[in-house]
Amino acid sequence: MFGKLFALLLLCAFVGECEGQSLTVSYAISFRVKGKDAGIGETYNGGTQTLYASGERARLRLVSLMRVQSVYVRLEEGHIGQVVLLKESGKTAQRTVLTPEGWKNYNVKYEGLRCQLTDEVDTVLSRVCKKAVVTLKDGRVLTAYYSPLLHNALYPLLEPAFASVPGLVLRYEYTYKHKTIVYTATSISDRPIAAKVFSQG
Amino acid sequence: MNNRTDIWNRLQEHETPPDKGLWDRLWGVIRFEILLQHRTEPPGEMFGLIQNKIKGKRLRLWMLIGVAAMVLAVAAVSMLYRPTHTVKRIAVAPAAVRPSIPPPASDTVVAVKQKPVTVDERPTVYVEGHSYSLVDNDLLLTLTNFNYPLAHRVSVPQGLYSGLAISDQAAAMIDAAQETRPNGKPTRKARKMKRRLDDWKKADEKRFDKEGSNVLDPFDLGAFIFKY
Repeated sequence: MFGKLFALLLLCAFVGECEGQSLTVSYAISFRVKGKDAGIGETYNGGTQTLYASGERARLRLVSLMRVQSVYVRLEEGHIGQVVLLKESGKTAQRTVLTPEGWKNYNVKYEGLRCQLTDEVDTVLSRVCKKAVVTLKDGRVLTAYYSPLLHNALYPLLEPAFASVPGLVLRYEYTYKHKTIVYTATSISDRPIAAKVFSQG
Repeated sequence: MNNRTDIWNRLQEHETPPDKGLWDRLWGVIRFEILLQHRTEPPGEMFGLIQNKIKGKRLRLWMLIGVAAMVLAVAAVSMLYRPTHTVKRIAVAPAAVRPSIPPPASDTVVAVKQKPVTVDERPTVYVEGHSYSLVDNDLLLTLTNFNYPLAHRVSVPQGLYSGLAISDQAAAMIDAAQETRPNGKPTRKARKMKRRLDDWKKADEKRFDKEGSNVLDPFDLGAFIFKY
């Protein structure tokens, strides 16, 4: 009885900890393509997408051969504030500032999406993840594996596709005509994040 | 064999000490110079067998000394270092700890001293241990202008959370774009590959810089790559 109670308290502490504290998750980008190569996709193959979230600030950063780009979001009084898109590669950094409405328009395709939660499980980074199938209104499908024990309030703002998924997605893939792009988490950290990570160039 | 030891045992019962002065007399009778003429060589493998025996004994001795030293070291460390379990996080002191939230199955209340996560905003290319800054802050442009075989020699580490792997296919493309003739001018294949990469660059800029697609969105990136 006491053992169960202790385990429950520990679980609650862990979930709460991940919700409010720093979280860094790195995803490796890879492709499953029939044939020789993925063409232009090879310039993104092997790239890394990293989520940095701390307090009320979050950043999603892509590093690939073709481009390095980040999206920054910030909560202001509990609501999404300005969203900044920053293209870091190239001669001059390109900075685009979006209002919350502008960001909503950017992600209009996710309005009315359906999220089907299944009992299917898989393991990513030694964590048991449940499968969710996200279907857009136009029929496009994204398969995601999420950990119900990990949560972050800012994550759905950066990845609106997973707004209805009850946990942090550790692997997701999108298939189009036998070609699949796969994002797989390679590391998760709760280390504090330096303030300059969110400084927006 | 057993009988032989039995005989020796029984003989021991009839042991009698030799007469006094017997040894002195014997040494006087034995002529050593004659004995030296009857020298015989020992069997060839004899020395090897003896040496192996000696080495084996030495090895065992060193192993024993090593084990004893390890036990002493472990005991000393355990006396000096007594870990304290604290839940509070301190974000100041750097520590070379591999950062990761431990899986749920293991103990989740650890990580006392943690180094803050940072990002290397300016990527660097490393070729055989030497670092080079980027041309126009562009990885692809830098690598295609390197004039250096790419496969397994170039790495682009950008901090712990943004290291970049270059696929074999991409490496082959970059290598092809660097091919030169003996006079130093690029080959036809290299020019063709550079044109291809330039076209991709323009298409990527058009799509993600001007048309308002989000390269960090899996649907937008997938749609661009797979339909191009």
